[in-house]
Amino acid sequence: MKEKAQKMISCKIAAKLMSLSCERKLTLKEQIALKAHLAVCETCRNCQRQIKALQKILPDYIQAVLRFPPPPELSLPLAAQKRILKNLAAQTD
Amino acid sequence: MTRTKKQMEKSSPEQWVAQHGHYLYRFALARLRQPELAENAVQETFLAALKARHRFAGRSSQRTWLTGILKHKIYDHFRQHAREIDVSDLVDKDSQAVDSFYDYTGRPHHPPADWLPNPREISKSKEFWEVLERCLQKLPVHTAHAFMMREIDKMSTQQICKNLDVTATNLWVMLHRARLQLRECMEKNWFEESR
Repeated sequence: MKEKAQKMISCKIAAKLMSLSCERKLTLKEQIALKAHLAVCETCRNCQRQIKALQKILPDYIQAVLRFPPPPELSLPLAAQKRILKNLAAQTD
Repeated sequence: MTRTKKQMEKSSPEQWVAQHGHYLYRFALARLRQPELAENAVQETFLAALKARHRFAGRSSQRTWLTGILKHKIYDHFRQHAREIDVSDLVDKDSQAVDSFYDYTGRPHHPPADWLPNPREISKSKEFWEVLERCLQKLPVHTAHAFMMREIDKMSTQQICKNLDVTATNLWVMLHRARLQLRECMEKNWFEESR
């Protein structure tokens, strides 16, 4: 960036700034660079919207997944259930 | 005494396992990936819950309380194994993965298409969540763990760094890779497939 502040940043740098903005507030310089890039780059605008949308969705993921009956390989196996119950019973005695 | 607290003290361990076993297992499996590790984490959770049953304040639901215990069991597992892994190697791989999304001019090899998950549609779509689950599983296990602590558990970056024994810069690379890869994976496997 430095003295060539007007030079457009690449998509790679733009993505870094998008990711960075999830962790901290961008500096004014960073904000300007990202905005200038997004203004002319449609695919990076898509990228930013999608990253934000996924970020919003993620906390619901386990609850959402469990609204549907789990396939057998993702259910607590019967043998494990029995073992857990046995160990719990031993603990209560 | 609140109603939930009464319920907790009355309900038997059998009921806990029946009501929450599958949920906790799936939660643990998403993080730990190996069935044996997930089973053990669930078992330890129930055992710890049994011991601490009198401390259950009833401010949250049973499931939330149990999930809180499980999360700590999972964090403990990763903390114990953090010493065994070479963090710089992980970070190098994550950083290479980020680079691999772009050509030498910094342009993406697969420019993001125009799509967005519609909240109302996806809430009913079994497929969407399955694809999301598979895409998370494709991330390296520690990268996925860091990402889930950040985005699902809403942990602060300082806490995550302490947990994984990595620097803020290291963590940032992991999170950045996770975001880019998850986005691209969803585009390829959900958006393009359902078109």
